[in-house]
Amino acid sequence: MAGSADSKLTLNFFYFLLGDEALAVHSAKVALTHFHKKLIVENEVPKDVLLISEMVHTLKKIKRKQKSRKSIEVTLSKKADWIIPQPKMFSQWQEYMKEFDGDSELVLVLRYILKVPVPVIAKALDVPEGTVLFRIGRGLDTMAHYKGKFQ
Amino acid sequence: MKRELTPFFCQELLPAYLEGSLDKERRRAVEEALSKNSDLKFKFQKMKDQLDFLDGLTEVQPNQEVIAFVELPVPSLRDKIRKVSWSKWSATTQWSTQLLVVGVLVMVTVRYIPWLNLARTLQNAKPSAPTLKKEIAIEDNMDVFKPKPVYGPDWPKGFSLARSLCSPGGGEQKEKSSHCRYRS
Repeated sequence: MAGSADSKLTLNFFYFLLGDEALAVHSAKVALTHFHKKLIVENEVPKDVLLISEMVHTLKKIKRKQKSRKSIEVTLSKKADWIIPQPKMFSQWQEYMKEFDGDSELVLVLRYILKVPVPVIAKALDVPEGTVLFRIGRGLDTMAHYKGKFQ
Repeated sequence: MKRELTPFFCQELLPAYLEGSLDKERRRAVEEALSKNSDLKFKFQKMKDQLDFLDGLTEVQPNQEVIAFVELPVPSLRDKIRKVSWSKWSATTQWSTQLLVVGVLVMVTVRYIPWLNLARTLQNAKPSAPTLKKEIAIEDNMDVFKPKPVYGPDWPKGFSLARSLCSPGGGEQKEKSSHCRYRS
């Protein structure tokens, strides 16, 4: 059984990076299922690293499917709802994500929205911490030069 | 002598500075560069603005129902099979299914297997196993008891070694001539 914090983290991760509620729920469920299966086998890898790495792996799979124009139809029995205190900010983020969707944005979401520590991100992505910091800098720079401007 | 940070290098260090992962000396050097270079300071301020914006997004939360839905374990194939296993069926359903299966089997057997033809074929079939010839004596069927010529090609016809040994004087006649002939 997943911890509530893990589920929340996974759901938010996919919601921020995919932008679609139903697809986010579906992806989160897939990622959590794989995470629990791997958790039994791999004892040496820390739990949070394993979860983040599984989330990133699932995201890449979903994006690959989207790129190859395979239709991903997800139907949920219940309506997926998110509590968004500032809808304007969120819509701005979604507009931004339509244009820029790379490694830098992934790292920004993990570090500053989901508050995952840099060493964990580095281990999960299998890159040095310096690379994570570089991607953060590049992502913030891209955001600063975004024509839509964040308010 | 202490070396000053170049604006480019300082810009590269800004994310680490924001993270607070720089050592004391580097942090002081970055702060110094920021105070001296207005362009760098502007960039740093913009970065901070973006961070504030991202901080505002942390309040976005999924609904409790969605969390509960995600936490539900995905049923495996074994679970699905277990749900429709034979033991879960009611007694009436079990009996009616058994009856139905037997009925279908009987119908298929009667309809598609030509029982009558099979019976006729079996009746007319000849036994394929080899049989002994009844007219010949049993000894002739056995090669073991047949006399074999042991004294060459001139061995008399109809001579039986057993008879010659049993008859009186048979042994003497044999001694008299090498070409001994059987006389009855």
